[in-house]
Amino acid sequence: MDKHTKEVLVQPIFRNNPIALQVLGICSALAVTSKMAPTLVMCISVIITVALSNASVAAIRAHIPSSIRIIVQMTVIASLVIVIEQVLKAFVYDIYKSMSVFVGLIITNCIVMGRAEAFAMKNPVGLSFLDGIGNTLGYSAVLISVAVVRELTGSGKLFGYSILQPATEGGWYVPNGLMLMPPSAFFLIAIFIWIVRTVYPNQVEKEG
Amino acid sequence: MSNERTGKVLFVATALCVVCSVLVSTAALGLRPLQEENAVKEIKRNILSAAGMLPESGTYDLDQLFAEMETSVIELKTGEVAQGIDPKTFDPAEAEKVAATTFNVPAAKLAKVGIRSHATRMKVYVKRSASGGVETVVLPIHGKGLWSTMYAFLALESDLRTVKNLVFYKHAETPGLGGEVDNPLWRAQWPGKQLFDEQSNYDFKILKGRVQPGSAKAKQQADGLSGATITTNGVNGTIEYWMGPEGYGPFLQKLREQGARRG
Repeated sequence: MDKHTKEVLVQPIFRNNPIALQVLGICSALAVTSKMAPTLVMCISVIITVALSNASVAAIRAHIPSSIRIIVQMTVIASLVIVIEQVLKAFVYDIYKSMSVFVGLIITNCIVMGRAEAFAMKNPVGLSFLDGIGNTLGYSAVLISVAVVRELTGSGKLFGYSILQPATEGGWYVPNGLMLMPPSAFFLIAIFIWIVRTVYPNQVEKEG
Repeated sequence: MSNERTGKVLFVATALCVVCSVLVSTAALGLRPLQEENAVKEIKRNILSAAGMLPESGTYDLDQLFAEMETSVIELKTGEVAQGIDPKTFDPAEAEKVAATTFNVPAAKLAKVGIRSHATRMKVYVKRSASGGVETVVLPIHGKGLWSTMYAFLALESDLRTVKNLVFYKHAETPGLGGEVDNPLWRAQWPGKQLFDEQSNYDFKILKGRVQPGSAKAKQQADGLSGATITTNGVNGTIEYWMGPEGYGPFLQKLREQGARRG
């Protein structure tokens, strides 16, 4: 793997994180992160969607008329998401139910189309595939860290197993209900952005 | 550029649509058996949960639990078990499409339940005690809310008057308003409500607002859903319709007579 290829894959995880720097895909980061299991399924689904949509868009990029390129990207993405939705419905029905509309809403996740338009339209298949994986790994890194904090502090559990014994079940921990509400993800993402921008000060936007 | 020729644009659009639709339909068709199996399991789980037979945690054998329920197809009009129908394969939605087994809801009742027709036969689930008496009966009901047809299982206690549980398992009401039929807090009020009076006449109403806790009729009333008057009316009308003569009235009457003979 040469240097450029590696950068395409690794850069978006921290240095050029789609959520922290580009502030894309926030909606699902708020919606599905109150528990670990749906978060992981969401991450895997988004990784597969973006990797494949990037690869397919890159494969036909030379033939996409620019007048209908957005619709072409949308069609590719929507088809992939429907396929993933069908697979989830068949194999992990319970999790599929708890994620309800958010699987379908992967279509509207800005990262998916953002990467197709910004990267896959100009780069070869293999590189676009890696770019998709890199960006969604960055997305997953944020989602998973948010979910760990939210499930642990919100219900004292991880993957449904009690870690901090809640007071209601005879333990000492009083769960913080706010952490299960979507707004708490805002605070956590803000803290994540703060940390990333402290490490990479050049990401701080200039004032004025 | 040659890519921008109308012919090319049309060609790319068409080819893409064909490829994508083949992909989507292959996935949908190929996975359908698994999905249907999941849906069947989900229905069983809902029935057991309405009957209060589903353990809250731990592992259990769904099919074994479900086998404790007696599943039968009944003729709504007479309340008798329908002869020659296999409950395993009977689907009320399919039966509704066949003219001979379609029941058109009388115009006077249309405003209550909202659906125009349903099958003349329905599946019912009865849990019997060791002595053969009815312990719980689970009845599938459906009716129109604001946007959607709402499907639920209504479970009655052995006295056939008292609600054991009401579980909505399919609807598309507004989340946060009518969708609150799924809210555990709202659902928690149902066990113990009485749909029928001592003489087995239907006497129950979902109020707009809250039930007065001290009221003499507190058991014959339920809280409405705030901000969802039409959904509330739909639930009210659906229960009333299905407990009435066009619904499970005759069947419940049969069960009562059986119980009286036994007792």
